[in-house]
Amino acid sequence: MDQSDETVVTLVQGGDKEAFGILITRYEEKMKRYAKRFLLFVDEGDAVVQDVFVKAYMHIQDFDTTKRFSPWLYRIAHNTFINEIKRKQKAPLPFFDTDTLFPHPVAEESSDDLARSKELKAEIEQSLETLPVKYREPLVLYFFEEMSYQDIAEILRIPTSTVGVRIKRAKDKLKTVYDKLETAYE
Amino acid sequence: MNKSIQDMQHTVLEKIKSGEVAMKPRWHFVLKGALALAGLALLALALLYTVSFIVFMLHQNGVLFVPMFGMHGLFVFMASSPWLLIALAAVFVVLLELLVCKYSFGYEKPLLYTVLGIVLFTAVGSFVIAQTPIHGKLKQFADEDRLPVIGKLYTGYGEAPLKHVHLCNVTAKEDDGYRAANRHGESLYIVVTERTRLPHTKTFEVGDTILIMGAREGDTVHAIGIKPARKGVLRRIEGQEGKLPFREQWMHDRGNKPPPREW
Repeated sequence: MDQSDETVVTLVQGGDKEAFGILITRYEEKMKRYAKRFLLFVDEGDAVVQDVFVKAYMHIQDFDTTKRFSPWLYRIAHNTFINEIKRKQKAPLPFFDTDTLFPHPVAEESSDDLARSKELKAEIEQSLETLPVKYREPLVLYFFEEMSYQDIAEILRIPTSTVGVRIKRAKDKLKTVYDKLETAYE
Repeated sequence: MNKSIQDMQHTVLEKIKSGEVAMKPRWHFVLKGALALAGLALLALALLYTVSFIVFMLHQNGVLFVPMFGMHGLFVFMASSPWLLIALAAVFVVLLELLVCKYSFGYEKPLLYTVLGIVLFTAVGSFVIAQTPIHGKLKQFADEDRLPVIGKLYTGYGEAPLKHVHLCNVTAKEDDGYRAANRHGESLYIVVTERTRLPHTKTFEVGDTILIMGAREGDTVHAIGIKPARKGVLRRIEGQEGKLPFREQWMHDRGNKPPPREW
């Protein structure tokens, strides 16, 4: 039986360097997928993902093995990707986000919506580049990485209700851009 | 296994084994966490100190009570408030918010809630501090030149005379007003005219603590309005029971008769 991620991390924390390879094997594809859809430039994708694993190893002693490893690694990836975007973009990313200011009701997607979303994935993927970073990332994590609102909130360090708001606004933005999406969502 | 994965794994593990990439020790994170918590605590204390000092100062010079005089009072309150200190407190709130948002209990909630939480914490904390004689004692040390660095806050900000607000104790009733002593030991002549706003049912007696709003010329204050203040407010401000300037003034005016006990 496969060891859990957290068990493997305990081995790494104890000095088993080779065990870190297991984590790379398990997460490399996911990280590359996340980087490709979030960063939208693939040329340096491997180097950025490698950087994520290097940072994860350096900070592995900071990981609390009573918690889940996946959101922790995605948090490191998020920070690394944001830094990469800042480096590439000349305009700075906004420091303050009004979405996080007020409480919003949380309404997670229903299973029907999820089923429909599978059909839309390809189209969403094509239109990702039209979205600003703050809307693109939760959409990628929700639709492509299939994470819960709670996990996304933990990765982005925003309230769960804000995740819902951003996903909804992202979809609204896509609706206005593509008639196809509008028909499918309604 | 996919070749790309093998490459990535191989490259990263090579860097680890060669020592190019090193794991940071646990104590590094423990220390970092402890320093962040200490910073949070220090910032919270600095915020509490600043806000409670602002309240103490406004209380001391009577500005805290002038909104009782309506719009004119509110204008004097705005004009006499220590905006530099208020801006400093606002900076502390922003910094505290930024630090709080590093922790799950902070970022899991909307910004509005955490800011309101900080404001509530500050209000309650400042109220608790206001119940203690800490600022009164610090002012006493500052007056005695025994408080380095922050002493100037008390002797500068706290002692700044205000032209239109006077917190005094009535020491004598006169035909057209009152004679009253302020916390600096000055005896002021309070001129009351038909245009002076006074409480409907209350006349002031010797020993009453009053708040006067009006321009001062020499030792004369032309009162625009007078309101009663709670007994003993001057004593609490000074934090030096039995050693008040106004007590000396009273005794001087009354032939060494001590003031009433309830002051």
